[in-house]
Amino acid sequence: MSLPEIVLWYLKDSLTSRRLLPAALLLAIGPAFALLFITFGFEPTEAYDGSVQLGIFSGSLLLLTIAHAGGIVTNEVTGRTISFLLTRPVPRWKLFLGKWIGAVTVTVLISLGSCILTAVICYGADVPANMLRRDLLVLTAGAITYSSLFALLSTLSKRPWIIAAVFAFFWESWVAYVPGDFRRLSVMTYLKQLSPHADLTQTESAFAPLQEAFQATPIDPMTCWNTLAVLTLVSLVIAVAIFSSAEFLPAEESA
Amino acid sequence: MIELERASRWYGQVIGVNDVSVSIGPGITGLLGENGAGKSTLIKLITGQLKPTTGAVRVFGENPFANTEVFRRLGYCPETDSFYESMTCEEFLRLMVRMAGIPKSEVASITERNLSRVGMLEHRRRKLAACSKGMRQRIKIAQAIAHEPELLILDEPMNGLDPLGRKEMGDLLSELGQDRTIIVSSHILYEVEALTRRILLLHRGRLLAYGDVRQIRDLIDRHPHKVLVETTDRGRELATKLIELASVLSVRIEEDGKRLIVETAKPDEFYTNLAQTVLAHQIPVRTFYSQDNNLEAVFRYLVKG
Amino acid sequence: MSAVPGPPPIADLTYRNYDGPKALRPLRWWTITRSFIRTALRKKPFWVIFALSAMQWMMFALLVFINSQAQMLAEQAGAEPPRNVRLFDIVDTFANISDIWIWTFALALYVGAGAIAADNRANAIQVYLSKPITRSDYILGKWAGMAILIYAAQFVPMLFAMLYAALDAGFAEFMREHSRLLLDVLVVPAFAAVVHASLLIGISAMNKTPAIAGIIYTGIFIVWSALCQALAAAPAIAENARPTIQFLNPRGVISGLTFNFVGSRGTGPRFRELPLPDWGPLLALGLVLCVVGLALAIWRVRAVEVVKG
Repeated sequence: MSLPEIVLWYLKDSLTSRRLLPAALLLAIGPAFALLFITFGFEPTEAYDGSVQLGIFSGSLLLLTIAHAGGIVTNEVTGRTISFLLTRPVPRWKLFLGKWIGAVTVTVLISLGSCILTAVICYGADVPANMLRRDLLVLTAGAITYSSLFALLSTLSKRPWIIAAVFAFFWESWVAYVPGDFRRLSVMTYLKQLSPHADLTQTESAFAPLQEAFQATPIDPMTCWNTLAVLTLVSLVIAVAIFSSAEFLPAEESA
Repeated sequence: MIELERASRWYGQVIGVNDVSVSIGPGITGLLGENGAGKSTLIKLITGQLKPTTGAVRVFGENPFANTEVFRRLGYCPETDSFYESMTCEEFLRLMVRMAGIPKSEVASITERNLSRVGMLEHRRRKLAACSKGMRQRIKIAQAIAHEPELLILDEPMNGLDPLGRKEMGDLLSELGQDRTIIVSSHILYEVEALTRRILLLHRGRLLAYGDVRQIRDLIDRHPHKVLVETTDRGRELATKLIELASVLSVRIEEDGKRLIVETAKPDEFYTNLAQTVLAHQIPVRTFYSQDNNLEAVFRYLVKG
Repeated sequence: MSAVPGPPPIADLTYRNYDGPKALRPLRWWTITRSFIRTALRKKPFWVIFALSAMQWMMFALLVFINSQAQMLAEQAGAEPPRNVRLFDIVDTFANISDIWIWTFALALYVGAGAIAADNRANAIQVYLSKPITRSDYILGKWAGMAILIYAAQFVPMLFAMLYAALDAGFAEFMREHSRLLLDVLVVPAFAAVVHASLLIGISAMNKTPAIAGIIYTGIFIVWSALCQALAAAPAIAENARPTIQFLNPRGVISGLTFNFVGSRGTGPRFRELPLPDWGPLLALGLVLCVVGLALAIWRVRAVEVVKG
């Protein structure tokens, strides 16, 4: 079975009615934010920035990568279907990469769709093309990087989604408030650096004085791209190596 | 074809398979043992899902762990009743057939043939989530045999099948066993007995016996055989004649006075003597058979000591 | 002689729950709760998350220690008259530390996402409901198990941290000065316990996979909170409504009720003072969330397995 066939199998599985509704809801987060922000009086630029940053980058993108990439191995183990896969003459690396590419594709399609809809809602026909292009590119990079990290978690833990959720929704936001270069340990820092958006919530934040006190030095784009690329590559290599050599038994039997 | 050399597998402090050395060749082999005896662990070692903690496992001369060359020639029916539930029977089987390395052009015909083989052709479009346990079991077997593997490993394949299904599956396995190696695990002895006389008996992770059930029985002949002899109304007379024989250890008359339970340490000699006795005294014998010649008895004897 | 009517010739095939005597025990739901708690306590990840959750209260103890050290240094310097140099107000700090939601949330996910979803997948609900317990017993049992674990995971370290603070400041004096904090320690953990348990039980009942239930809950919890944070800054929102709008989400309900109950928004020294949100809307939303969660569970928990093919 070839790599594209495994990817197609994953994509076809993602199109089942059971999965379409959550996908549609995740797709709608950004546009729904945009509609609400415009209704409540934000300027189109503010509404777009807020919707893309809060609804897509920090919302649907993370949730999609947790659900898809975080389940690459774990879903097979907890669903007890792993035995079917691991006793077939398909190299394990191919299975893993095929499912990973499938997960990234679904995440990218939904995130990009959400971003385009958000832009159309906020700007109508006058969407700033450069900005949208930049956001789509960075969203793709984010999807690839987070998917690699969470796919690695999937080979290591039976409940990667809890660890991924804590990482995505706690670490990734908390680390931004830590003084110095600590924030470089967050993927979102690089994504925000490549695709900066105004923070709508900052005006009411109790952390505002801290943020003002510790103005971070910008990271140049090349460093951002390189870091994301290295992170992706390293995570994937480790994940493939683990998946190729470790034992994965149906959940209740491995105890 | 399959060789285990002092293979052991531990799960932390629990032992699954303990120092097993065995070589399994063509034909059907019944893998027997009580629940928790290590059957599934042994199967997972052979199917390359687990690595032995110590010792070695070889299938077709190779280490089977994550070995695609071995998997190309191997079919495996897992014990767990789990599937990609949103798929139909046909979609699942097509995926499994394709994953087994069958060229795209042949996938459809092979899928159809194997759905028919396990009696699921008319249910091909049914979602797996909506299939009964018996139907799911059939699909599991179909995915294991679809690519015509040389080695077929079936973990509890009869689970969930109704009597007719069991009979059909038994016939299918007997047919498949003529030209390939099949390992069938079960804790239901008569099922295995109906398929093969070659057994591999595990108990608490250790290999207790491997070979023809009759040969194994012969080896444990120090343990007395029980033979049931059913006569008409001359049970007591026959009992007095039989007790005089040197090959007979004891005779018990059942309440109806017609059936005798004879205990013998030399079954072959006893059967000859029995024939001579009934002919000499013209005592009618309706039937006689050994209660100990079946798998249950071997199993009971070896496991319970 | 009148004929005794026999059973109808066509069997009644409608499904009924267990309808026999239910004299097993007076608190039947407690059987489920006890089993739920025992199962969770046996798992290592539970204790790992519990330890992480307890760490925030170790931080509280550390701040109390820093306070006393600062006071001691000031006294050694001989300031006249003696000044109160406590760096951290104990009530503000309590509110601040209580607002670290992530570990309680992670623990709620760990114990709650699979509470009913796992039973759905294993078709275990049919087994439960074939015993002399009702659907309400089952749901209440699971809900109580979740709520007790989430409550205890906050309450126990909170209590120890508070005891440390009391002993550090002198027990009698602390009790006199902060008698209200004892009530806070008792009540504050209940907000998170009730909200998480009620919502999670509904979402878990809707799913067959704990992971999906957990991800859906995470999505609701995080995305809703982010939306409210942003909307609170919207031009069309009246200035006096902003502090409350920000809290009109599950995460906000827990924090807002905590801040209100403690009487502090947890603002640190030299930080901008933030107003407290209104009680009413938060309490109303909290109640709605609990009712919706439980209603979803009641709607979805059935003793029969329905398959579609």
